[in-house]
Amino acid sequence: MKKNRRRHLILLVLVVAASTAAWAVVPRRRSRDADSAAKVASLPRIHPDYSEIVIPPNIAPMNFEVCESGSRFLVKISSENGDPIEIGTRRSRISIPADPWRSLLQANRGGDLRIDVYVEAAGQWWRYETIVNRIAEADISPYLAYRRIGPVHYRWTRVGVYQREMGTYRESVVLDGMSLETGCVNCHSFANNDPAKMLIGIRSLRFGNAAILAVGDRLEKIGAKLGYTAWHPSGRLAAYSINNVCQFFHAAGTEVRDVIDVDAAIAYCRFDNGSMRLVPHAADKTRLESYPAWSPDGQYLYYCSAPILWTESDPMPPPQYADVKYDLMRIRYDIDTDRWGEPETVLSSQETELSILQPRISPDGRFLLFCMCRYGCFPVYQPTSDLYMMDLATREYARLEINSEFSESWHSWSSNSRWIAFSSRRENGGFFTRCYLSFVDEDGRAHKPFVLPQDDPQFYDSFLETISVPELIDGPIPVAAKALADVARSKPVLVDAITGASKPAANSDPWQTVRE
Amino acid sequence: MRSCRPSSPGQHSHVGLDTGIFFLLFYVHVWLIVDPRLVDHAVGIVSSYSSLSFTTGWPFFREHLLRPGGIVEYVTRFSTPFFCWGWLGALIVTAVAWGTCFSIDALTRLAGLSRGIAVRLGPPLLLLMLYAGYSQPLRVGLSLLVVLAGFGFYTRAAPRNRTTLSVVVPAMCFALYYIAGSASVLFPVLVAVYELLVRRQWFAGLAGLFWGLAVPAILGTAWLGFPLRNAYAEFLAPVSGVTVADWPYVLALHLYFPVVLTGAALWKAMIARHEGNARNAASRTPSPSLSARFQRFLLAEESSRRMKTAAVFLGVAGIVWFNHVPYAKVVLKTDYCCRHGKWSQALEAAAKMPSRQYSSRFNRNVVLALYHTGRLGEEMFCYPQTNNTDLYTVSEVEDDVLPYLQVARFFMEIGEINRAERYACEVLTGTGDLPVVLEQLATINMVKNRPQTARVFLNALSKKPLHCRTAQERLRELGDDLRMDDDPTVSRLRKVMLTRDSVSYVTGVEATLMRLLARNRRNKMAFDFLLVHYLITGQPNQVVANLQYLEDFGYRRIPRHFQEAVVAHASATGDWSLTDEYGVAPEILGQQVLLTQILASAPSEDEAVKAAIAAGLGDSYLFYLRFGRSGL
Repeated sequence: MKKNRRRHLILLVLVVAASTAAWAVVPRRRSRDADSAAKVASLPRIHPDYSEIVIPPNIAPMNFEVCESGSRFLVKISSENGDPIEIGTRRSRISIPADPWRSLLQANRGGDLRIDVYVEAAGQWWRYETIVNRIAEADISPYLAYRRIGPVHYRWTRVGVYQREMGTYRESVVLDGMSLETGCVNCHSFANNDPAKMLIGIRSLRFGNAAILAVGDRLEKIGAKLGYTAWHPSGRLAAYSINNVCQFFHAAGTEVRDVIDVDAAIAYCRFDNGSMRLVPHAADKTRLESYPAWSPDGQYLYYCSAPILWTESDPMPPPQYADVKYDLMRIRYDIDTDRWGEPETVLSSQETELSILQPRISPDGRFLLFCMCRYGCFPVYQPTSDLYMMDLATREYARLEINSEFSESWHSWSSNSRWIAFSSRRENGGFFTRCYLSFVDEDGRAHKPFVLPQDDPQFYDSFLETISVPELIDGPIPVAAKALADVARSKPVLVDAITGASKPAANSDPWQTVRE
Repeated sequence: MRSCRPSSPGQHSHVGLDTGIFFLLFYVHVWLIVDPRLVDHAVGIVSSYSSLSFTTGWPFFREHLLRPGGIVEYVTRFSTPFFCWGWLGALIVTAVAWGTCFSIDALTRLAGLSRGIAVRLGPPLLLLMLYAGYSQPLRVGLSLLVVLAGFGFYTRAAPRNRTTLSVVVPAMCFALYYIAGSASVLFPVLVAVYELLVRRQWFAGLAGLFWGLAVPAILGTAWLGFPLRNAYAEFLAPVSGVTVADWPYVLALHLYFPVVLTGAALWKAMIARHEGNARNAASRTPSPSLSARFQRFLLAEESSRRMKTAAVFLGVAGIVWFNHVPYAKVVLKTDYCCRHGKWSQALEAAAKMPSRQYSSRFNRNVVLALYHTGRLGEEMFCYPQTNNTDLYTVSEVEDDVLPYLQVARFFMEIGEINRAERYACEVLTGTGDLPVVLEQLATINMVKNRPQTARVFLNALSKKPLHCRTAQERLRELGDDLRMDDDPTVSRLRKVMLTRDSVSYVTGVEATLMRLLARNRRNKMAFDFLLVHYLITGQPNQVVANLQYLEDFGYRRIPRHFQEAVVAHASATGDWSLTDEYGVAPEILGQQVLLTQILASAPSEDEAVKAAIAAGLGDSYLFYLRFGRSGL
């Protein structure tokens, strides 16, 4: 009996060893076969489309799927320096090993990254033209914070803000709405891409509408809802919008949902003394002001403003909803004296004939990235929304080539001003919002964008949530989700009421901020 | 589990027969009366979908491997869709019930009593009650079985020296907590009872209790960061798959086993004491006392077995009868039939619903079933209708998915594709990726010519084991023709789909239906529901005005309710020539005369209603128009 057992054990070991050896040898054999491959005069179709792009040197392996039919696949990833990566597989899914990928990118900053795809079909190897990508010199911010939410119209169960390490696929919860009893978490914003200075909005029937201020280890619950928020570069205050939102639905057409601000104003909160005040001239009763953004020197607050075209007695949504177009404005601010200047128009919607929204200025102060769409205040629901870049020195602006026929919005800059992350609905037929990354060169030209890489290249093909409001940040958010949730569930400590020009946002409708 | 006093072979065969009959009846009852298909259908309506949904693939499995109780949860999720086959669902339920029954046998044997006593049928009965309420307590049942199996293993294999016990007990507590989640706290309780009352091992009992209660704190709260409540009390609080109302049953199910073990151990001790006393007393007293005789009667299993069995079966039947919620079943069955296009069966099921139990959701199903069976104009008022009947509006705070799914299907069919998309998305985001909603959203996006979006929903659907084939087939069709022009459903819906946009919070029903008819004059559903709207809102004149179009929609004769509308309109305007023009049947004219006479002679409104119902007018439009209700 014992002898038999021993024999079986030896046999098992031999089988395992042989399998391992075969596993190791087969790719090399494939490689030799592939050397004699016939050429195909086109680029291989890969999914996601990671061809002819500029990639960050610190990005996670950009796994992809070869969309050419074949029984075996061989992919060689190489560059000027370092060992090439060779992946042989019977599946069309290409999983790139992380360590060699990282080494290759780091050793070839500023160089080309070549991807050669070989496919064996009907006993013949075919070699496609080489995909040549460029590895940027500049890193992308090491973390990305974003919101995950389903295609919400009114009801929802799960909304959460997450952070993702760009060098890996590691995703972690920043604040989950479930911890607030199906609450909504939204409008996360950071001071100068600093993860240690964060504001995050919450809406919960039980725990109220509030904002969590996280500065280092200090956590406070501000008992007021901050809408779209922009930190002053000093980190001493934040400007935010107060929006009274009206959501409505289209009976026909591509996009069902739509949103208008019935009333809106801009206020600011000083963290040093806890005061919350309206911004004079940006809280006009006759206008809608929204989307504040600071210039990097902190001297100007940029924002969007549109006239109110209806009266309180008009039905909602007002018949003029499609005529609302926002201008791009700015107003001077002196932080030391807490004085505001006069508003000036940076770009008029009369000139563009489009609604100008979501201005974001590059940290180096050179460029202003913004959206323009046919009408309204919420570009993500507007298929016509595109990204535009303005050179702030000349105030010349141009539509970026990276736009698609679908909505582009929710953009953010990396702290080195070389990368932008934005939301787009270009894939999956314009329904689901995904996060895209694009390199911006020194001339302000944005290069072909690519979707945020995932371990599974088919991840987005069945992913039923949207990834929106991507914010590039310079490190992991140092506060644990549990601590944030605890504070969110606590009583607010920093409360101020705003009275004056515009009505504060209605808080009865939890859906109001549950938008992509 | 170790048996202290094996039963005799004769007793085994009796018990086996009883058990066999019981579980045969149990199976038949679950299969044919409870109907596991409705348990499956009720997922998302009665029980939470998010905790019962299943997706194929490693990430989903891995996610479950990483949390305590994930394995049992995974098996539950995997098994739940199989309830769509009634016989298989009943088999799963019966197997779990048998497992609990077997465990009770093992526990009583452990305490030194014979098996086969009535108490063994308690857990199956509790499970039956849970299923009769259309909960899905499979996770509860499986967790219990895992813990009981663990306890069985402990009683057989646990070492008896303190050092080894100190290792084995915490190891088992960790293992059971990992597999079964917080239900594993039952394990230390059983260990404590067993060691303290049966084996009289104080150290082992206390060690088991300590570790069993400490593990959720260590693993769940401290390490995984669960709130204390979740780490411990999942089995005490309403668990996924079980409604709040059914929580007492779940609690009873969990407490049942330690109570039985405790009771059996104490009973055994009492017997031992009684036997000792009896031996002593026998030498002194010639005749037993009344209480002693009663005890002997109770202990004489063979003589009382038949009586007990009969009592148990009667008790079970009584409990099942009183626990039965017939209207819940009618609602679910009607909706189930409507969702599967079994319209006639839906009406058959709906016929069992008393009018006072009608809700707008139920009525919507009835009206849809009447439409699909071509009986809307003939029988609509045979069912309870009120002037509050609203087929179009859904309360935004509905807890379950039923109304959203209903209206999403309805709006899609009638041509309001955007509204259908909206409500289907409400289900998706509020409830989860129900296969039915994924399929519907795929179709909606095909209709809207968004093949890539449709593909996302189909890809998600292909991860549902029982829908994989359908999804793959649709994906293949989509691959062949992105526009899906040859697909009959897609092309039919495109023909009726609204293409002219409008926005409003509340769009008038009439305006919407008119727009649908403006889009496609052959939209029969829109036409029929426009007439229904006119009937319900008391506008017989509008019904009459539209009768000229009946032939365009394939009507060969004017349906009864429309004829009644003609009579009502004629009565209101005095233009009785209309009745000849539209060929109103004499019996309908007779109904109008009868109603007029009743109204003239009845001393009060209530009396008039009673008289009209007695005269057989309770199911007519004339009655509805006059009294604002029907189906009487």
